[in-house]
Amino acid sequence: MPIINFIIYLLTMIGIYSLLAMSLNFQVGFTGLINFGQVAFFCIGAYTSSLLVVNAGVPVVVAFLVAMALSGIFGYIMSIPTKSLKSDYWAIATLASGEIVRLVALNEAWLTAGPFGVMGIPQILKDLIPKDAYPVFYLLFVIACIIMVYIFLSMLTNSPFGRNLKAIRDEEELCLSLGKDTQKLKLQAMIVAGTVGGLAGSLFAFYIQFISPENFKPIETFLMWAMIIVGGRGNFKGAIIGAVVIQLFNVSTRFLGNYVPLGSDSMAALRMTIIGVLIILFLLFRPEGLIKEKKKVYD
Amino acid sequence: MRKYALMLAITIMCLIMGFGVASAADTFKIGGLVPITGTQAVMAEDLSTGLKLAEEEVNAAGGVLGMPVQVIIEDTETRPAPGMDAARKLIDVDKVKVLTGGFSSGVSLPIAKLCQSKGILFVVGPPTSPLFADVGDFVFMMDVLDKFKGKEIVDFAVGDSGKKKFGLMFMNNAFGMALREETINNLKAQGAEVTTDVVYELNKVDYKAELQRLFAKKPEVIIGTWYAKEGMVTAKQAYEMGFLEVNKVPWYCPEMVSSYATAVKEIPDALEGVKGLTPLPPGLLYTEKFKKKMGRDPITAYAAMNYDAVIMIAMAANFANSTDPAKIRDALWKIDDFYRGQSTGGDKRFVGGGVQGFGKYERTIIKGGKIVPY
Repeated sequence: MPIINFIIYLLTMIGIYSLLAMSLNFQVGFTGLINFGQVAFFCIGAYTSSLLVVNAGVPVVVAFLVAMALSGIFGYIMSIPTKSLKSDYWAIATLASGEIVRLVALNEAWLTAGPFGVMGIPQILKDLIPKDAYPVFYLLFVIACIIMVYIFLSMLTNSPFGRNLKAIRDEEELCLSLGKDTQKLKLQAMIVAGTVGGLAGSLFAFYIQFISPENFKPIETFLMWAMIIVGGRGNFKGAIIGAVVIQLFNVSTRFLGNYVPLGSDSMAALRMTIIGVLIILFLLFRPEGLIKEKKKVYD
Repeated sequence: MRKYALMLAITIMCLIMGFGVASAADTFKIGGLVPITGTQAVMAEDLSTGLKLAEEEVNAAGGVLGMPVQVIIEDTETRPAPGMDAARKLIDVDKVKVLTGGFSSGVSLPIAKLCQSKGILFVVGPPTSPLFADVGDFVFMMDVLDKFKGKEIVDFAVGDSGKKKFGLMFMNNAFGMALREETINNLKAQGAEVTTDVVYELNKVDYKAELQRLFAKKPEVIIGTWYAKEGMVTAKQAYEMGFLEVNKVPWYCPEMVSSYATAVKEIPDALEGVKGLTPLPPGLLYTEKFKKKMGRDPITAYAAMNYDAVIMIAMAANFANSTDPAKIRDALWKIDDFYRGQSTGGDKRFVGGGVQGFGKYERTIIKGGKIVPY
């Protein structure tokens, strides 16, 4: 049934964006690091895994692991010059980092094929999965990744490490006064977030099978931010719910033409407006998002 | 509990919208991909009109196998991810078996790959990247490849100016880089020198630095291409900086219409005397129908490619006596000899890889705020 295929596609994309939103929420919601360059992890993950497989013939599993590692390392590198900055300056620096990565992908054509993009990215386990079942298989693969990441991040945030991150977010000076190395903790948080972002990029590349720098523009970061504003900061359920809501709103405007007497051009222009209005409404009336962070009270 | 109810309601609402799309089995549906929003939106109305005019004409002539044709237009937002959303929606929800349109090669290439993998026919409208030719047998093109345009513009610029030192300015995307490469290769083949080779980023509000670099080594001729917004900014700033003096250093543009769609109206004096290539203008039939429907002249010749695509798809389906995309694909190779098109000179015969082999471009010049034959 073709409509099922569309829903499977939509769920798969929601899943990939859920990972990105969880990664961003780990930085923003748990550590208080304002990252406007989140798309950089997505880009590095996508390019690293696909180039390793397409150009170097590296096995997909290894390519995924290298992509995640490189994205994590980039999270570390990105933080080194900015680790001592306050949140607003940190945000500007990350915005620049995101654009730098995209521009490298765009201009270093010897490595990335530049604006032509990387074609010929194979489907994972294509020979083993029947063609009709492949979309379901990939969706399940993405869901499995989400579950693993969810468990991993939840364990981290409930550990002493996670409590330190929350302490940085809530009162960095207090954290410092207790002798915590907040700069080191921020670097570690960025490595974790980068790794998850790299996984999302790899999943995206091997699903769409074609990537180009146009896929990694700053608007992608804007969408990820919209997801955590709507879903709720400081919890991973919120990130997933936010991804669901934003993606559904984004796509559903394509169907409104059947019910609202507006032309397809007007409906298309309304798409981003609707998301913008949604963000404003949430900021005004439900700033904690759909799912509020559960804060533990320690006696 | 209330928040979960809200989330559930939102989800159900959105899914109902998806399921609510009526499926009319007695209609031949064609998906039309148009950049209604984004950097290339300035041409969206024309591109949509091209599709709709063909739809009306085919239906007036009896449709496809007795069924009316319906062109369902979706917005690509001039970005790959929404472009893919649009294509997936057309294929999986609207159940179209044939797609056409597109504008940016970077947006349309992954869609072409998707169509090939699903056995959906994609008759690409304006995009010109040579990479389409390698995607597969379900992908056809209505415009000529970049390498054709690269040779044409170099032949024009070298022959017309009689000069040998060239400054180049192309945008950093799939379209611009392919055209730049072909332009450089052809200039070298003609013994010309490239003094400066400026590659610019899209969506900037200031191109003064690029223009300074372009003229730093005193080129004798400029070859460059833009989209409407960048063309407007670059032309305005070049004029203010004294670089747009075509009597001293002539400018040649491989894409006159898309480069100067806005600028030719807003700052006609600045562009006076700029020369370049324009796809041969739409045929009389198309122009008249367009004027009648829209009450104005078409601003771009690319919309006629969408028009030709829909007409050829309908012809091929009738010829094949089938709406099966594989049969329409095979029939396209047979009917292309008989169809006199409205774009790129009318000869719409395909050659290897489903690309256009005989399209023609017209040499044009900007005079009195209009792009006219040179």
